[in-house]
Amino acid sequence: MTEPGTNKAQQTATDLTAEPANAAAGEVFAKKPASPMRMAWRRLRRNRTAMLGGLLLLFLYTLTLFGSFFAIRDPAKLDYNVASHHPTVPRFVDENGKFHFRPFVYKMEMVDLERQVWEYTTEKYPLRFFVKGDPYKLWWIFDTNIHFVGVDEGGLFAPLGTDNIGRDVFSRTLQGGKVSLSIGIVALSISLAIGMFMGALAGYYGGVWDASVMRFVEFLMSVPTLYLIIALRAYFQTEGLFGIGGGSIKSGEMYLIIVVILSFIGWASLARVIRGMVLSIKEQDFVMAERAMGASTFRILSLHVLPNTMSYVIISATIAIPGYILGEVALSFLGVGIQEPAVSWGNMLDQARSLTILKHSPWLMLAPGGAIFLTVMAFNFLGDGLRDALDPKHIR
Amino acid sequence: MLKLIVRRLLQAVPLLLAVSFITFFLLFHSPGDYLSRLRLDPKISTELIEREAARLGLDRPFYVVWAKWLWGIVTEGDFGQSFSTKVPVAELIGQRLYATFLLAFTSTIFAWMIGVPLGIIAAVRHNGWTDRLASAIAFIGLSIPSVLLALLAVYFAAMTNWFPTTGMRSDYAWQLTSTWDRMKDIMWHLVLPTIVLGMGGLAIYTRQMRSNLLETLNTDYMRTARAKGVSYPVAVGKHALRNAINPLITLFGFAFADLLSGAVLVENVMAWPGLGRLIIEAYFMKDMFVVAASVLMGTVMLMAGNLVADILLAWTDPRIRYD
Repeated sequence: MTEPGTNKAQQTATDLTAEPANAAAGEVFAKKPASPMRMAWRRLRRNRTAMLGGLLLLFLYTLTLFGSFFAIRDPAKLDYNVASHHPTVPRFVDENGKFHFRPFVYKMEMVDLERQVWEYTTEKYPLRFFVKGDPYKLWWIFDTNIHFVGVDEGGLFAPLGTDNIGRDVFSRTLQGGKVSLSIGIVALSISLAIGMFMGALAGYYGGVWDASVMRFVEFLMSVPTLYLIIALRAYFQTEGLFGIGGGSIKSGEMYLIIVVILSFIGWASLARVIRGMVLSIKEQDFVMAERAMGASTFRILSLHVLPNTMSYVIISATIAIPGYILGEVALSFLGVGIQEPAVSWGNMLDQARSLTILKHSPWLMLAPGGAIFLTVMAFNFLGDGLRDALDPKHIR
Repeated sequence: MLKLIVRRLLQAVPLLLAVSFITFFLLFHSPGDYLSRLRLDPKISTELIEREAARLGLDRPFYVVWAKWLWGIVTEGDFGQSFSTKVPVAELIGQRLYATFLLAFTSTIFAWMIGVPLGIIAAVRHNGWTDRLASAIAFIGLSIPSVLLALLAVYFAAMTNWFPTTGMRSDYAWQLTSTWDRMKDIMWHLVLPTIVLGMGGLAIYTRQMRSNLLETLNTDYMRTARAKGVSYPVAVGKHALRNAINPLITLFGFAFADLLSGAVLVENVMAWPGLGRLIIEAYFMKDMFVVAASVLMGTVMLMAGNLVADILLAWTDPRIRYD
């Protein structure tokens, strides 16, 4: 294995083939062995779609993390004057064919109130960067009103249009991303913790413990997911989580409820596979040696057994996240998840589903739908790449 | 084979008991019930409410209601009565189950009919443009959320008027006299939901078929077959395909679980009168027996799907014997 940078030509040559098998063959005459993780990272680096997915995720999560900053307006601010406005595209070339270095948007005028028909005027509003706009709190701490992009008072810059009460869809999509993108990670982390714990104990101890955990896993996996989610959701209805809320559920509690439901269901499949892996790992010599030396069960499991399941855990975590995101979308879409005034991609889709809205303003469906699609695709790209990188035996 | 079926049925009994028990537990411990709304109405007397509660069994502990409900199912096939519609649950579920089953069936057929050939073409033309196209379709199908796809389908139908936007039958369906016309009407309504619901499975089958076949195409027995003069299409069809298709059948059970969950969303967007729509309606009405029966039926369908997958597997692969 060559050190990074010493054999550029060979690396670029293998870049083109993107087949892990070829890459390994090219590096047979190695000087120094690299760790498996490092080799995996190199294989991942060569996989263009995986890197594309990773970059896309980085982009989406950054955009969402600074969502209020990148938002053009306050996502909750309504303005009936610009209700159901179609997306306004920034332009460089004006009506006379003149090129403007600074992009601008035309002001639109409503010519038919009844049918909501908009027409372009020649009035131009240039886009300005780092402008003062609606005040917001970044990460619940910093009070500020600086936005990434905006136009002067009187103009409308809505790259994804506005909804039927004039809220900016782009800003709302960013706001919704905070819920939809984070809920997957939070719920998955809990699932992973439960799944690894249960799977490791079931596999290591066996016996009654193993049987009862596995029966429960089978139970969870035998009910179609969405049916189970709805039944579980009934339990938390209106009362809030563990009866904290009382009366109506606040959006923060709803978030927690969805996390609890999704992670309660999600750990099952993970625990089953981890159990199987632990069953085979615990018979291996290094575990025997450790046990002979008198190590505690906790030490054996956490230092020797579980790390060996890591590559599987990383792959399955990446592949599982879309499921969690789609779970939130499904709940909110069916009206039993995140509800107004809070925003999530699921309830944005719910608001876009009536036939009149679909026909008249399809961007209300396309904006959150496209965001979900991009996120899920990016995770799939990355997950595929990780599987190829960490498990070279798998054939693409 | 018979042994397998009997064993599966025996295994299903405790599982179904557990599913129904936990569903009842969850539903009965959810605050408010079907009568909560009536209680708020000052015109309805409290005695009437209490009498209703006693009649519906809402005043007793959940395990008693559960046991009575089960007894009713076992002895008379009675799934109780829907609180809101006053129709026997069995009747209600029966209609809906048929609609969901029909949709699941056509979607599965669609997914296999398109996904498997697409995977085969992709593998045979490995790295060609057809391979790239098939992989792209599979990736889009895998990544597109069924809610979005369903909304896009409704939008498409509304814009072109080529297909009905929602529902299972036309408004004028009751006027259709011949069975053939009624079937045509339903088939017409089935097209879009089938494509929407089948897309996920299609993507799974295409990807799996492609990678399985790529693996088998490189095996020694394929080289032997080609060396002794078997033509390429025959070698692929007779030797490679048969070995490549087995893992797909195992996947069938997995894809079917996805399908049932996806059906809940697709039915709700496209107003398909299936089980997934029923459970949401009943959930909002707090119509307990209907929700419980829907969950139970969903579980039965999933188990049946897995059983079918196992039987198919034993049938196609002589190495597998369940004894």
